[in-house]
Amino acid sequence: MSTAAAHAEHDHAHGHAHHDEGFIKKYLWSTDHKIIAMQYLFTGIFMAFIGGFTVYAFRMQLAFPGMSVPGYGRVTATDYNALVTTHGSVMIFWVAMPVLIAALGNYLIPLMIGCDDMVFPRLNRLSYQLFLLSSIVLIASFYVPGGAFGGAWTSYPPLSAKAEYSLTGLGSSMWLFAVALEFAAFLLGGINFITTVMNSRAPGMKMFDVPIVVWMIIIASILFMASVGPLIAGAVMLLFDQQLGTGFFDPAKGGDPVLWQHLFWFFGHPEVYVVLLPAMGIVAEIITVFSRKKLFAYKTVLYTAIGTGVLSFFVWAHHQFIAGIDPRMANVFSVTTLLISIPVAEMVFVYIGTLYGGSIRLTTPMLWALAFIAEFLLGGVTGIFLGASGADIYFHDTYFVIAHFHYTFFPIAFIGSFAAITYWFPKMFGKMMNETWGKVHFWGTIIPFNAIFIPLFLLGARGDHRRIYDYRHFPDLMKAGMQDLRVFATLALLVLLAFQVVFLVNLFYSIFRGEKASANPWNANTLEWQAPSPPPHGNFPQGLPNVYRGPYEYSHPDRQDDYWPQTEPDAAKS
Amino acid sequence: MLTTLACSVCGAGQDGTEWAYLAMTGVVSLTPLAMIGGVAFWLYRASKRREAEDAARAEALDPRVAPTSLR
Amino acid sequence: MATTASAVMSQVMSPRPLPEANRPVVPSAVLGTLIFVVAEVMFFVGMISAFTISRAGAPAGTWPVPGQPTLPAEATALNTVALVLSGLLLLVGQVLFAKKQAAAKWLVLAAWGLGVAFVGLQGREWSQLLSAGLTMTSSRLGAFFYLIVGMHGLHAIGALVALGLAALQLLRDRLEGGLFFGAQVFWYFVVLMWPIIYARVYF
Repeated sequence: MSTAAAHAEHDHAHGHAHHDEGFIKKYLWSTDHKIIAMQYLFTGIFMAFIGGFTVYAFRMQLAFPGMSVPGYGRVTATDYNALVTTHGSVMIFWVAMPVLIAALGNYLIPLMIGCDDMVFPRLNRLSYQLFLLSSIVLIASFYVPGGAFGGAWTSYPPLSAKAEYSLTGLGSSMWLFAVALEFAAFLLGGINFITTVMNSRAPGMKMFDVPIVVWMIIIASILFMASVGPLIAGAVMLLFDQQLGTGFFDPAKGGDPVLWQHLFWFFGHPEVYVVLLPAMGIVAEIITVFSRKKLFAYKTVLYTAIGTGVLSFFVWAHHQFIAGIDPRMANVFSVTTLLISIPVAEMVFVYIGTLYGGSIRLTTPMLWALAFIAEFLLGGVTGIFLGASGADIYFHDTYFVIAHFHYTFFPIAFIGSFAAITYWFPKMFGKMMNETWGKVHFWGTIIPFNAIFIPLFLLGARGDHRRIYDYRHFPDLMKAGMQDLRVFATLALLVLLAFQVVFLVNLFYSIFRGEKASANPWNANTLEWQAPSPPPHGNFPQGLPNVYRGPYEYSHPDRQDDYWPQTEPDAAKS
Repeated sequence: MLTTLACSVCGAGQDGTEWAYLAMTGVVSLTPLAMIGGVAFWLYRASKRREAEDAARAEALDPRVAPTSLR
Repeated sequence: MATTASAVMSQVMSPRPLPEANRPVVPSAVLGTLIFVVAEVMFFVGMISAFTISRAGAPAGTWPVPGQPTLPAEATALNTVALVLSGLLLLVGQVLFAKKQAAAKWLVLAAWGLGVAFVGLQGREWSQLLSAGLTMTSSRLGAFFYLIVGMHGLHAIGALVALGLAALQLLRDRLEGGLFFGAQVFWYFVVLMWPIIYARVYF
């Protein structure tokens, strides 16, 4: 075919030349975006074990205080702090970020925009190596004297600034260092993503032909880039406070601890949208494919995502309503916080509009996508209460907050990731996942998830404070039924964790023994499905694809097939 | 000698601090938007220019199959 | 489009003439560095805003702490001039480079030299201040000064290394473009950041 010849000359020098590399060169030192994506994915899954194990240990302590937790032993107060801190930081920085942005971004962007690799492949490799190093530093911090950092994932000074307060001298510095390294890794990744989408789109692919998930990852990367600076500045200052004895945040030396909160949340809140948007994008891809319908309003989704991004820079101080900030500022941030629910709700409406009248196929990925919409909605709606500064004064630091942000983060980090993994699994590994076990895992995750966090809403509404190690010392928080709710939530957690085994077995069994997948098992339009499953080095052995239309042309009235791949010329219309 | 404050937010009520927080909130929030807006506008113009070039080239090469978009 | 079957076939067999694959919309090195610079600017904005807030919150008469040295604003004017001049020279050098004139490399080299001079002058200033008793722990002014100016200095050194490599390539007429453009963007960032730091921190 002439296209193949025409494109051969455009292949980079590293193109298809080296297929027979050694194991290390191929899997550990690779610049191939798919390998790097897999490295990120499996590191993220591994870190999720740490996040899951820590929550198991400290929830057991809360439900059955003083007991020796099977597999961990007795949880001391210092342990408890370290476990909570590690759970929070690992789940956000080492699970949600690497899986949703780094793994999926790396895997999908070059495939979906039709190019052979990232623009800066070696930068990409460096990005993963930095990330791996950051994970190692974080894990190593468990084994230094004093143990892992115990100042909560928000790391508020003066608690975090002085070893006398946090009781974790070296651990806190290692935590900061790990977080900083991790940010450097994602900085490099983000530069790659944005530049690649700008410069390497397949011929014919205009800006509005780019699939929504790619747009979402790009917008998320831009948000990350623009918000991470102040936190890195704060992290350096905090590190100096810890190690050099400066007084940036130490009130005893004239410093201002609230300043850290501003620097932290200036990143911390956009971070929520950094992980939310890719999950939203994944859901958009899945519901269009499995409703066999065009995405209800492509440009609306895109513009609302941009609107969410812009607004996300103006909401951060809602985390500090009771930290002693200027009440005028609290007013403004209340309003912006309530405002940001509008674009997010609009996206949800668009997705429901897409479902409306579609021929819906309830496959496992589709179930996850629908669950994302439903569960995230609950998280978003409870956010309204917390965004109103008056209500927040009561709810601040209660389990209501915990339940709220788990109803946002769990759908993002886990439901979104499960949706993505089950949907793109055939492409990633060339095998199909088992649908039955996929659905067992789905229900075994969704039901316990709600059973964990609905009790926590109730507890929070009754004033249950979140930073308590042993409730037996707080008779007011042990009133009728409160401990029962804690026990119930913990038992539900055990069920949820147990059902993840089903997923792991299904994942690894399918990788090795699964039914072979065709190139396009879901009859989807986007470019990654035009490449073989799994795509070889260089992605498109037939030559890079040409793009003729947008990504969501399903059930076009003029066509017999209910899908219309982006690469199919108009003239071939039947 | 250094004056130290007994609580973490004692300084928050002072006029100078309040003003500084408000002003810096504005600066820190608006700087990224301005920068991203600038870069995005530059990219938008560059890609518009490229699309125009591509269309002209495709038409010059073969007017019969000038880029068609049925959307 | 009214097409006969053969016309359809011919189109399928010979696809429409396509533009060059993967032709960058903007140079990748410039875009990549620009995005990096956006993150870096936010890093400095974070530090400068922290400085501003801390300074505004300092009780009267404690900024700087009496008895500790003040920052040499006048002497640093020379450093500032050197750095700004270096940026301007590089700008002219880029214009000449675009016109493929041989003088470009000498301008780039001069810009690089002035940058090195800036870093050297800053180093001298630091050693004077340190010996006069201003350290990171002596006061918050000292801490912020060494933090912000030090970070800027680190970025200057990094940019100078890249610019030096690009200048070497230029001298040997072996420039690949990417490095030079990326280093340039980064150097402009270092140059433009400095007056803001100078005006904010030294006065």
